[in-house]
Amino acid sequence: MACVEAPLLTSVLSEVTAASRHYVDRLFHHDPQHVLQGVVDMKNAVIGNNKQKANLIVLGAVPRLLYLLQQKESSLELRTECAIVLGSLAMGTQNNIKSLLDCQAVPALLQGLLHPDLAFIKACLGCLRTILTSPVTSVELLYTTPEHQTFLFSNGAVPTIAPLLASPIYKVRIEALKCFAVLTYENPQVSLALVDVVVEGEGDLLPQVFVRMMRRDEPIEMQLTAAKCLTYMCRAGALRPDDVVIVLKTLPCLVRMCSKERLLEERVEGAETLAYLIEMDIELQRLASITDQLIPTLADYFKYPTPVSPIADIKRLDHDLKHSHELRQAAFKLYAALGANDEDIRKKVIETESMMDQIVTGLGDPILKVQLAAVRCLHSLSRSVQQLRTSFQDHAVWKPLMKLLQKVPDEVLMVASSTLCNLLLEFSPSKEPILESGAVDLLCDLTQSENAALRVNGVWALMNMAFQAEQKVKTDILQKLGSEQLLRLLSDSDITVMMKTLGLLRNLLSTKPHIDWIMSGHGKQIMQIVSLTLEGAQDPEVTEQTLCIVANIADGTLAKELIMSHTDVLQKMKFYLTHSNVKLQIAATLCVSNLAWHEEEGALERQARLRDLGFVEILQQLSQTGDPSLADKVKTALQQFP
Amino acid sequence: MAPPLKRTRGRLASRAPFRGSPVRKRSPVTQMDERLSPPTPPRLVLQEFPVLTTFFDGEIISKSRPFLTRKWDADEDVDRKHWGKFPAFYHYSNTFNSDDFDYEELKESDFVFMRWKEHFLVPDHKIKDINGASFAGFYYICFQKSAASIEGFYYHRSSEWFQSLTLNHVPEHSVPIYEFR
Repeated sequence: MACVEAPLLTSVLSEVTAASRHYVDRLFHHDPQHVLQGVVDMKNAVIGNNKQKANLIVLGAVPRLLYLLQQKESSLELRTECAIVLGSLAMGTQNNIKSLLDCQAVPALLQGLLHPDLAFIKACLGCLRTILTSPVTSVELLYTTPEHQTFLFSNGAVPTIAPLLASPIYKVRIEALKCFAVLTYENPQVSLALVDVVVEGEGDLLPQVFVRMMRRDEPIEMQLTAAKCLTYMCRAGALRPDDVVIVLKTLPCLVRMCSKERLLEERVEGAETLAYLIEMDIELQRLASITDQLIPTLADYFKYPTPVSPIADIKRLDHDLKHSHELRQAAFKLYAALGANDEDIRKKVIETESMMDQIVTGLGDPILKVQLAAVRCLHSLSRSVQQLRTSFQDHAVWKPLMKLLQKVPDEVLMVASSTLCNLLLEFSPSKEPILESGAVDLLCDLTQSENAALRVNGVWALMNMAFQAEQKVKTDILQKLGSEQLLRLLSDSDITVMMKTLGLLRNLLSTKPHIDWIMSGHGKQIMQIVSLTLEGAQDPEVTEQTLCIVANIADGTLAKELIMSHTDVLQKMKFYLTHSNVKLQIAATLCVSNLAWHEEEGALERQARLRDLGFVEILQQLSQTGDPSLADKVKTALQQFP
Repeated sequence: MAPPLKRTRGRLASRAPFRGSPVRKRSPVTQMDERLSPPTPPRLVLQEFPVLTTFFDGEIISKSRPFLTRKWDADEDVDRKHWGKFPAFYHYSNTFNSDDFDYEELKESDFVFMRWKEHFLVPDHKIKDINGASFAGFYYICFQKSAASIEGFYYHRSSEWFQSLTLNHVPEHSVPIYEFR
C-alpha cells in the first residue's frame, strides 16, 4: 500500500511546491510593477495559511523579500508590501521565526525604522514585534550594534520603559528589565544616563530599583537580570566598582546564582556575569574569592549534573546532560577572572580538587567554547612564577597548549599565545620542551599576522624567550625572524608591537659576548634602527626603550666603538640628558656610564672624546638633581672620568 | 582579557642581582649569591653541598600584610625582637602593633620591610628535606632603597635565632626585560 500512496503524496507535494514556486519566481521579474503585484499576491496567499508560509520560506522567499525591502531602487510601496508579507510569514510557526532570524531579518527591519514614511515604519515594527515576542528569539539580537542602542535611547526608550518597572504585572516588569540589560551592555552613554533616572511609581532612582529587584524573595530570573543591569552599568563606567550597590548587593547576588540549588542555566549565567563584573578589578576579584565559598562551589560545575530534586524530572536531567559543557566553560571563565591578578587566589584555584586535570581536559575539549574558556583559565594561572615551576610542570600543560596552537580560530590562538608568552619565561621549566617543539617558527609566523593582537603576542613571546637566553636561542630567533621582519615590526602601526620589538632587541643585546657577537653581524642595521627611532619617536616610552638598547650596546667591549662613531646618536644622548622626562635622563646617563666605563679597554680615549663633546659638564650640572635614582646614576657616571 | 600586571621599576624589579654574605653563628657558609625579585630563587652555597637554588615568596609589609606576622610560629614577641634588630625600625617600635598604624607613611620612607618565605627547591619542587639545610622558617627583611642594601634575620622556632644575611645590589651594565602577559 505504501508504494501506491507514496507517488500520490509526492505528486500532491509537487503541485503545492509548483504553485508556491510561482510566487517566488515573480519576485525576480525584471519589471518592478510585476514584482510589486507578485508581492501583493503573495501577501494575499499567505494570510491564515501556515502551509503556504512554510512552502514559501523553504523556496527562499525570505532572502529575496529582505533584499527588495532594503534596496534603495525599490519603490516605497514595494518595500512596505515586503515588510507586510514578512510580518505575515512571522505569524506562522516558530520554525518560521527561526528562518527569519537566520536570514538576518532583524537588522534589516531595524534599519527600516529609520525611514521617514510612517506606513513603512509601521509595517517593519509589526514584523519586529512578532519576531521579538517569540520565545525562540534572544533579546540580545535586537541590539546588535551600539548605534541601535543609542537610536532607541535617543528616541525616548528609557522614559517609556522605566515606568514599566513599577507595573503590577510581573511579565511586564521582567521584559522592561531585560530591555535595560540590552540597552546598557557596553554602552557608557546609556549607562551613565540611567544613574539619575527616577522611576515613577517606585519613587526611586533606577539603580535602587534594580537593587530591590535583586532581593532573595524575587524570582531568580528577576534577580539575575537586575544584577546584569548593574554589572553592565559598572563595566560601562556608570557605577564605580567600589560602590556599595556593586560590592554589597550585585556581587553577592551573582555569587548566590552559582549555588548548587540553582538551575543549570542560572548557574551558567550567574558565573558568566560575575566573571564579566570582576575581570578588570582586583578588589572585586578578592571579594568574590572570599564570598560564600565561591571557589569550591565552582568546582561542582565540573561534576556530573545532578537533578535538583530526588524525583528526577527526566526532561530536566536530559537537558542538563546535553548542556553540561555550558557549566564547564562558565566555571573556567569565572576561575580565569578570579585568578587574573592575585597570587593568593591563584593558589586557591589551583588547589581546588583536580583543577589542573580539568584544565588539561578542557584544552582538548571538542567544543570550542569550552576550549577557549579553559585556555583563558590557564592564562590567568600562568601569571605566577610558583605555578609555572610546580603545577604547570607536574601536569606538563605545555603539551596540550602547543597542540592547541595548531589550526585554531583566532579567538583561541589569541589566548593560547598569550599563555605561551608566560610559559617561555626563563624561570619556566616548560621553556625548553616548548622551544624544542618549534616555538620560534610558530612565533615568527605569528608576527606576520594581519591581526595586530596576534602580532603583539608573537613578538611579546619572542621577547620573553630572549630574556637571559643562551646564544643559540638568540641565533635561532635572529635567523628565523630575519632583519627585514624586525625592521617591519619596529615600524608597526600598533605601538605595542613596536615596544615589544624594542624589548626583544634589548634582550638580544644583553651580556657582553652576545652584544659583541650580534653587533659584529648586524651592527650597521641596528645603529640605523636606533638612530631612526630616536629621531622620529613621539612616545617617551619608545624613546626610553631605544636608549636602553643604546646603553646595552654600550656595554659591549667592541660594540662601544659603533656608538662612538655615530655622532647623531651621541647628540641624541646629550639631548636626552637634559630632557624634562627623568626616565629618559636616567637611560641616557646609563649610556654615558657604559661608554666611559673605566675598566674597559680604550676607556681613556672614549672618556676624552665624551668630555670634549660636553658630556662631563652636563653630568656635573645634573648631579644637583633632586631625583635620587638619577643622582645615583650620574654619580656612577662621573666616577668613570678621571 | 584581564589587564596585564604592572611592571615594577627600580632595583627590586626585573630580577636585579644582589650579592652578599650571611653571618651565621655556626655552619659557616662560604658564599651567598642571591638574586632578588619576588619571587625568584636565591642560590645558597653550603660548604658540604653543591649549589642549591630555592624558591622564595616575598610579602611587603603594608596594610594588607602588617608587621604582626600571625603565622609560621611567630608571635608578637618574636616579631618585636626581630623587627627590632633593624635600626630603621626604631621609629615604629612603639606603634607597629597598633590597628591604626600608618602604612601610607611607611610607603614614603627609604625602607621597605618584608617577610621572605622559602618554599621549595629548584628545579625539583617535590624534594622536602635536605640534610643541613632547612627551609621551614622565614626571613625578616629590611631593604634600604637609597643604599640598595638588604639586611635580614632568619627565624624558625627550632633554629638558632638571628642568623643574619646582608646583600648589596650588583649594578648591571646591560639590562634585559621581561613582562608577564
